[in-house]
Amino acid sequence: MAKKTYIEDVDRGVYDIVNEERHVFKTDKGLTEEIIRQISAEKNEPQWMLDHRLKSLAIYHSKPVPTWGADLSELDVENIVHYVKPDAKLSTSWDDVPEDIKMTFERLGIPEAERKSLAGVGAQYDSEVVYHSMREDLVALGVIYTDMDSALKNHEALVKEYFMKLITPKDHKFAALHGAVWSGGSFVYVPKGIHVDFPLQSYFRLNAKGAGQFEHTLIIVEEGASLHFIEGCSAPKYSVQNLHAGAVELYIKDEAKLRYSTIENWSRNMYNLNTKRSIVGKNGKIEWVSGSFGSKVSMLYPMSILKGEGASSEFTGITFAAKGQYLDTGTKVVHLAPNTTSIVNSKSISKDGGHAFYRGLLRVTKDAIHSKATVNCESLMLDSFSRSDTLPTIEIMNNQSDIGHEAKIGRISDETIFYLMSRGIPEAEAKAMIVRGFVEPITKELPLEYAVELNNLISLELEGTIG
Amino acid sequence: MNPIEKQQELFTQLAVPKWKRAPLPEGLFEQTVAKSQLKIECEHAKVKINPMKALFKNPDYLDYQVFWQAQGTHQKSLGAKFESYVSGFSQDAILIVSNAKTFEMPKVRLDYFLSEANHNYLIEQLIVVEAGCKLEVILDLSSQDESDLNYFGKTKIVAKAGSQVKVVKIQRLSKSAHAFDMNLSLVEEGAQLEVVDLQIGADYKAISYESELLGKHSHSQMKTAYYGESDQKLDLSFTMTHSGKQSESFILAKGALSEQSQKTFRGNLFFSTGASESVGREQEFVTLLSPNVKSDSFPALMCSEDDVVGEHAASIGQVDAETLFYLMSRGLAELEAKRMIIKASFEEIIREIGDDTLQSLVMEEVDRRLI
Repeated sequence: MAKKTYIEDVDRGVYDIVNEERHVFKTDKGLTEEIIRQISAEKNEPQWMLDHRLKSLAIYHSKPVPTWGADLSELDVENIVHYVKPDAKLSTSWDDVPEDIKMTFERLGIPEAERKSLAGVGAQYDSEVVYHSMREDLVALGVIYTDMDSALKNHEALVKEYFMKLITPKDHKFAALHGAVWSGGSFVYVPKGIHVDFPLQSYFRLNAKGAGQFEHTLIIVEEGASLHFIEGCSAPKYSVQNLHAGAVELYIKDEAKLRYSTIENWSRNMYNLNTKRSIVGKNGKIEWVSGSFGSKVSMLYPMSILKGEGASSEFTGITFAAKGQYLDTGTKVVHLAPNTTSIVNSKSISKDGGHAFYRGLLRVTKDAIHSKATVNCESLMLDSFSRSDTLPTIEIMNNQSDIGHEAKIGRISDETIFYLMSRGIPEAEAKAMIVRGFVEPITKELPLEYAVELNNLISLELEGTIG
Repeated sequence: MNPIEKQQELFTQLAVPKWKRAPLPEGLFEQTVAKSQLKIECEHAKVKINPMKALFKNPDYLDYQVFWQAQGTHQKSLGAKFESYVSGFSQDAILIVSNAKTFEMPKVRLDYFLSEANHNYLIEQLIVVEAGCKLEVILDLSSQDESDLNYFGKTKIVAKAGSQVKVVKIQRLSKSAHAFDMNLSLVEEGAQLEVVDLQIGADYKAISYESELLGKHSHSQMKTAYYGESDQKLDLSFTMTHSGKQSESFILAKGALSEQSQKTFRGNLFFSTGASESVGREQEFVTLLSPNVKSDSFPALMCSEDDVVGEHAASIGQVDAETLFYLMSRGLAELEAKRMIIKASFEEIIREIGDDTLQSLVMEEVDRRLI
């Protein structure tokens, strides 16, 4: 039998370092009305938010656990701590952040990212944001970049207008859970016509054992404005399961543009049941760049609702499923208005018994005439213990749109290797080129430091033939 | 209890399924079962054709049943309610066995005429092509115009090692008929199966084709063309399960939808572990002719073997503007030009019928119904 090239697992070294748990407040395990009231009181929230939490809790109890997709039977929500407040106050100076938390983020490259982009960084540790910084000139222009709790205090009217209006607690069980126990996250508001010329970054880190992270990200890009937002997620590995059920709501107004990049590298015992949704106005644009590497189980389908005429969306995603992982990812696009366009490019790699599942939806409604949409899915399988499935759904309801769909599954073809070798490239290099080429559409969309990190995540050890 | 009674009991135990995308017509299983008028044409001495009811105790048939049950593990079909209904109450069962090791493909033609309105027709075939043998079966289903009836079909095909099988199914029932068709096939080592399916008539149709590529170098190909008009509902499902090494499959679906018609297409490619060096391809082309149509597609690729090639492609949209412009610049009216383009795209599949008279009959029918 031909030797197979071994593609190494994502190196989790720095991610798995565990700090001692120091917190000033931690709720009991499980989910009761009492706990919700505790969280809300601890945060000193307005009454409407508490009402929203309680309403969500009732919906959460009334909805069944979804049975399609991932097996969630092992997930024991009653055993998860829903709120952990770390022993650190929100600071705007890096020096004020407690030493161990600082070290964690140093290892993950957070201040480094800040030095590079000169402010525009937020970091969340367990349930609360511990560090936030923003460039002065943008603050003067009215750009708001803060944590959700501060936003609720200082920009209550804005938060009230948009919070959980796009992802409502009625959507599904975990959206309801999020509505009940959400904590932390980022709030970004870009006023009309302002172009934020460097990426804003946010990093989520879950340190406490058996806890859940439920951060809420709310981004509003007003008419003609533009923004690039980057989000990173990680958690160390514990023997008990952690749960991440965040929510991301993106409002892109007429002529506005938002690029939203995520690199998710949760620990391999994490249930990542995240909900992301965007609504795009006339001639607006949403660009998703999404990398899923970590977690035990992921169910993640960022959704673009193209509501305004001429709105467009672009989704570029990569999923790497290694041993013991079931990553059910994809994207949903709904065309609601005429002349809307969408592009989906999805890649997945599965190895060592990992299971990568692409699940997508493309819906072109009756009113969305002259719309164009393409969906491309490519899956690379590195051995025959792994699984790779593709299940796109395409629903078309008018006759004046053009829809294309392509999907491919398989391993690296010998012919491609042969071609490259015939051009004088040594075999090992040819193979490395092919794998790098496979993930390249994603890496080129990322800022440099993240691209380097991604390349490090997928390190190649070449031996024999691939496949 | 004999197997038929077992199926009848199963049928009565099961509830009528609820289908989400195209809800089933009311009172589907309540009509009286009628017998079709069947005309059989077969000239080859090595092809045996026998009605199944008389054959029920025949060891040959039992042998095939046992063979089937032992090896067939079907993943997609219309469901147990439909299967047990046809197996338990069928009036038109037939067994076709080919032992013909000839150069030319022996042909069997089955013309089913469903004459009575407001009746249910339950039609079943078991087609067995012995090792190294060949067979072509053409099934033509027709009824009187405007007659309201329900057709339930079940075809099982066993293509034994090295055999060559071609099955052509033409459904041109009346516009108010309902058609439910299940097709299950087993393809052994080196065998080749080719299926051509034409869905022209019926108001509601749910069609499922499933092929198991069991043996090394087994080959299965399914081509379908359909046309939807008024408020017709179509649910088409094509499944290929690769278990044999170096097996090859191909699904091609071409269709056009007009007025308020709705279509659901499910193309499934399964690659089991061990089906190394297999290739599966799937293509879907849909032309949408009215702003009120609905076209849903679920092209699934399920893979647990790395050394395979699985591909699917779908193109859904309007008639190509440039081709249309060219034809109109040559003096054709828009409708005429569109009709020509669609006919041309169907022709690729209609040509596969192979029988000249039937081919022109189908062409005429398409012409009559188009736009």
